[in-house]
Amino acid sequence: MRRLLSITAAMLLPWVAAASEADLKVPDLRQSYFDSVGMNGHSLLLWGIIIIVLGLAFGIWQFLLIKNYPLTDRCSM
Amino acid sequence: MLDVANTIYETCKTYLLQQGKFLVILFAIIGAVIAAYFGFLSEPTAVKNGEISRPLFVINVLLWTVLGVLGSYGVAWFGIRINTLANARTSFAALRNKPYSVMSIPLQAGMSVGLLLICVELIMMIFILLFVPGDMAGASFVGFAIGESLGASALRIAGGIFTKIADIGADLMKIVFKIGEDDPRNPGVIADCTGDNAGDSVGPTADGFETYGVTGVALISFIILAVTGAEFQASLIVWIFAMRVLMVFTSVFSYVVNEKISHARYAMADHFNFEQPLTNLVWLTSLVSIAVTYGVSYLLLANGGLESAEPGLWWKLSTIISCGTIAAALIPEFTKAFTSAKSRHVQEVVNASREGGASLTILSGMIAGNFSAFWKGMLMVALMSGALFTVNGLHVNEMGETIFGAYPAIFAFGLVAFGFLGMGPVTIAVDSYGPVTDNAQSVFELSRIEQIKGIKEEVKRDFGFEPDFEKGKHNLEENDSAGNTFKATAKPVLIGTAVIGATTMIFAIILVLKNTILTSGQSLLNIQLTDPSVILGFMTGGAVVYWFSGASMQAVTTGAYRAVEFIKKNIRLDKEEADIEDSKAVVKICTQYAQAGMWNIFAVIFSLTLAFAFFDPNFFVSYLISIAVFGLFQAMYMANAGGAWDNAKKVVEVDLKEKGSPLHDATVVGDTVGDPYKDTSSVALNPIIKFSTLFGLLAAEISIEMLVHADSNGSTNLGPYIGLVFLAIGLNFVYKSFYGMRIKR
Repeated sequence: MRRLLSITAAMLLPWVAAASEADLKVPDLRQSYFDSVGMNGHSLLLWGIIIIVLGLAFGIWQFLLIKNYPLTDRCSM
Repeated sequence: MLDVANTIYETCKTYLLQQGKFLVILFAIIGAVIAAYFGFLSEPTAVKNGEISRPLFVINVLLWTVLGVLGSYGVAWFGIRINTLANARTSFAALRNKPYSVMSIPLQAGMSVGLLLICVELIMMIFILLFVPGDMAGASFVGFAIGESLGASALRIAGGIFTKIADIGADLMKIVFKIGEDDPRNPGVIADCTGDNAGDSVGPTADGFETYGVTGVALISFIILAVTGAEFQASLIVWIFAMRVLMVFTSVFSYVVNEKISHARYAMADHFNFEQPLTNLVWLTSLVSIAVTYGVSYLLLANGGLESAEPGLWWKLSTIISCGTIAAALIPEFTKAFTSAKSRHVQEVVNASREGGASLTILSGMIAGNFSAFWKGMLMVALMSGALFTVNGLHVNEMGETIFGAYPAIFAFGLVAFGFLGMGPVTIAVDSYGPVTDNAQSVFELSRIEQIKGIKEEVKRDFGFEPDFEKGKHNLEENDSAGNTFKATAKPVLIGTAVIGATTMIFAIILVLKNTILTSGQSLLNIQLTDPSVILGFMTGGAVVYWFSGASMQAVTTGAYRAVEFIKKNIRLDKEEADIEDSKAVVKICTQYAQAGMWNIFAVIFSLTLAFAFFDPNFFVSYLISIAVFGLFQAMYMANAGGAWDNAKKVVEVDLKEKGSPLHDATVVGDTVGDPYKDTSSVALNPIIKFSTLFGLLAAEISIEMLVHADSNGSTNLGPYIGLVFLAIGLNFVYKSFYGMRIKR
């Protein structure tokens, strides 16, 4: 029995070794559903992109604010 | 001021372009390994099922690797641009009588970089999650993570070497010629300012970008490997990313609130503690983040399948993440006890230096570093234990498995790392504060604005206020000290995630080992303390961390020797300012040694990782854990000793006003020793650990397949022989990293 098991295991080996980090199967996020927000994970993250874009805009806005702060070009270099 | 800032920016640009070329070469090497792995050695399911041809699959992975490198490089570029805008503006704002803007502008710059970094990262990762087919997404994530850590490692190492060659070169002149910090006659100053950006600004941005990405990839892979059922996996991944997205909102919210409070409190103040608003921001953000964590988890996890499988899962997971977020707020507090100008440790360094000179400065600073490593290590252990305690309460089925498989504690540690990063943009913002304040001070000195005839009237006419040069200078110096402290606070947070994140990543390989059964019927996994390969792996990890510290500092030392030699020969004290050609020559010396040092270091990391992976998988996994643990402590020790030395010098300069005294000389020596400690070796350990882990995982999988193949048909396993070849190459470069980098006389 033990021998049989190990033979089966040996046959399965290529498959086991391949099921590694580099071959992860990321699930389809539509398979999750959240009652509280009434949508699936896929749509939820799509909405999330809007928040990210707003955050990005805030960051760029701060950049522009800094760029427009007063500054003298007077110096002796 | 504009001119000085522009000169700095132009020099930075030249440096970054050179780095870019170097990255292309590095990518070609790593890309070849990735292509070999996915193109020939592995058998991706998507290819096997005929969904996509193999070349297209490989191109897809390589594309994400390039995007990872470009992401690291791109945010670094943005960081440099905004810092070189903010430095001059902070410097000019210091001339107003109120110190408020001296604090608010660098923080604003930091927030801008922090947000950009996190948002770009999230968009890329969510894009993979939503739009790349599931079979290819895993490999894309791995490629992306490898690219990120490749870019971050290269930028961290080269930048760290560059900045400290210049810093030491410029600093030592203070003792030799008794000139001030940032004296325009010193041709090393421009290189020093470039270095502040190339190292201290580029470093944390690229590093932060990499850290967020890799921790995310580690958690995703854990969820997929350990959690059964696509619905559960999908729910948990969405939950993690929903929290990440809200982190953007939390940070902006806390920043705006803190800005309003600080403005009301300090805008009119003539004097205030610059560290206070930053401390408030960190605490406010952490509390808001914890509240949001519980809120979102309740919303997404409290109903549905996961809740029925494990009642109360939402608050258990939130508690674990909060352990990490609290750590991220407590670590800065702990750091301040060792590096803040007001701390007893820094006072002790100053006291020791007064009678004992440079010898006692150095000893006292090392003590601060050692104690900090102890206390922070214990803090992390305590909070990780808190997380462990929470998962120990999870329901265990008859198979001995929880909802997170047989090893829920590993997932808990990964979530602690996630919590560490919960403040996202704010952690990056307080870290980026330092280089801006440092540069602002330099810009002020270099511009010598106070010596321009009629400048007071001109500023009054054009800008409507009367500039106060004395006070402005004082505020900039004091602010620089706050910058030093907060630069020291972010480092342990980033390196902390390396350890915890690496543990989660290593988990993937552990599962592969566990599921691989040899013909003897035994599992390949044998990570026990009684297994010799484990003990040998631990020893090897320690050795490599010490080699790395030595090799990176050797590059700084030889480079600094050249820079000092050049500056001593060419400095003209009778002139007003240094020749621009001389300044450029110093920049060139820095670049040359940064690149030479980096070549050797990369060659070693690359060869040794492959060698160890091919030797034995159990040995390799132990090695990875070991570099993470040794690296954590070495990095904390070095970062905080360096911070203590730096601020001891600041105390002497700013509070005691004893520039030029023997006490000052002693503390300058301490600071120059601390320079490569804190800004070269310690900071590069985080991306190096991650890069070794990620890149090594691919190599380890090849090695496992060879081992299994040899085992099943009774042939000799060639793995260890390949390992020996790589070991020989690696050792050759280890030899070169000292003997080839010696000072030439």
